[in-house]
Amino acid sequence: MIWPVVRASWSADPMQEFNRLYGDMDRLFGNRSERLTFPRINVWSNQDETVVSAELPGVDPKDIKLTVKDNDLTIEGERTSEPLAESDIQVRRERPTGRFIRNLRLPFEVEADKIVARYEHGLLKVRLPRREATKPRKIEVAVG
Amino acid sequence: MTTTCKETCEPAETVMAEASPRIERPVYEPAADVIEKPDAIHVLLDLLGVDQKGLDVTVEENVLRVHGTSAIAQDKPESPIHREFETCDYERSFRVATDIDAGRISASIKNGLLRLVLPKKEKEKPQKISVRTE
Repeated sequence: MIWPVVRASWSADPMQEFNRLYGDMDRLFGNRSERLTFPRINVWSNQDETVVSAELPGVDPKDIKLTVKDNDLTIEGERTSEPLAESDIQVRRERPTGRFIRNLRLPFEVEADKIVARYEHGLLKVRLPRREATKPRKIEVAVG
Repeated sequence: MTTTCKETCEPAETVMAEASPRIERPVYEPAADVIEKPDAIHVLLDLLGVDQKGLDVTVEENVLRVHGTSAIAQDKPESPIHREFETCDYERSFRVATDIDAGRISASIKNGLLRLVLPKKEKEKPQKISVRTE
């Protein structure tokens, strides 16, 4: 009897098939999982500071609240929806609205009073300088 | 096989290079809200990083086309630790079913949100017809 060879391509990694399936789903639905997160953020960091940028188009900068506690940064606020009159017809609605909150843990503690936040053309950029006391120090080795 | 691919790809690359001398950036479709009001159609588009200079709105044969070039420079810092988006340009077209007055379209952009107001042509406004009884 001849068995069809169906499992020949399976690798030792059991997650590979799941990852492939996720990839297929993303292609099929246009990577929706990413779109559900609001706002989307980018984070960079080096020895001295962390920079966080967030996509917040159409949000009044006054409605954005930033809080820092130890090394936790919280970005919260509200994106208001367009007020509709009774005679208006909403033909298409793709822009997410409502309250949002994102919390992230920074790689180190920051100087809370030296944080600079700028909002320009819908992009929020926050620079968080590292607390001096937590910076790595070079220790001289004395001989003798 | 390789030679055939090279032959077909090369002319296309030349055309692309001529068409876009700027730095290559991905172009995405922006999210949109469309609201039809009795006298106009309002279109809201999320165009992050786009200002007045980078905006191009055209209407041709009932197709509304919006192109936005982001003014935000591509970030290239040393160590990204988390990435969810990239700087991009935007392009989206809409077919407008209602007759709109192309000459009176107004566009305003604030905080990365574009608002287009497309006024309907006079005849498209609903008219009340009074019914007489004899």
